[in-house]
Amino acid sequence: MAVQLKNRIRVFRAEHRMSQSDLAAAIGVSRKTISTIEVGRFVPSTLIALRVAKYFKVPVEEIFSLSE
Amino acid sequence: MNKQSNCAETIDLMNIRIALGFLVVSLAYAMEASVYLVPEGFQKSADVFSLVLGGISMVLILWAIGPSLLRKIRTRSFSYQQPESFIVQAFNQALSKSWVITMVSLVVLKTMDKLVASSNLPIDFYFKAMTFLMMFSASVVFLVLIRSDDEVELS
Repeated sequence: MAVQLKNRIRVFRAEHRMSQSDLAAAIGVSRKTISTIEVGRFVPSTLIALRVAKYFKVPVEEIFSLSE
Repeated sequence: MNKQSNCAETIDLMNIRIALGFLVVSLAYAMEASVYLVPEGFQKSADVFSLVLGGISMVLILWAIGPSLLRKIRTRSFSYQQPESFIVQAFNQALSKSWVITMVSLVVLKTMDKLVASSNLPIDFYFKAMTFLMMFSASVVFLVLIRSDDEVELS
């Protein structure tokens, strides 16, 4: 089975009461990019993953993980 | 932060508009190619229609690159800065798939070279038909790739 990238961005957004647009603007990507990362259609680069983690002040592994 | 100041949104919008421009330009090429296939009575209408589509595509191109260009002039940033984005990735995927479709079509056409030679169609027809295929496939693949089924937004 192919390895997939899971993420908890939606959970973190909910905790911070942020919309996709707010997070997108905060890390310098478009809202569509955030929405497609959340549903697993777009695999973000290391740069975006690190920016998201840095924004929420958590290690990147808390947001992104691999599922097999 | 307001939406206007997000450079990534501007780039996404530009790519979507460029893809729509591709669609219109491809239809203009299809109309120009069809001139060789339709009866003489329809040729003038096809010419006029392709001229109109050409005009629309010019407007679309300005509409596509205008915001990005204005932003660059306003912020005086002329370096190449393209943020990572789902839309940009989809656009690149669409271009590569369109290239494959065009190549396969050219190979198929090459295998039918005797048939092609026996038809009385000028080379201009094939050039325009291939350009249509390349641009049309790029825009359609792009629009399929970015179709929205992920618009879940927390309030």
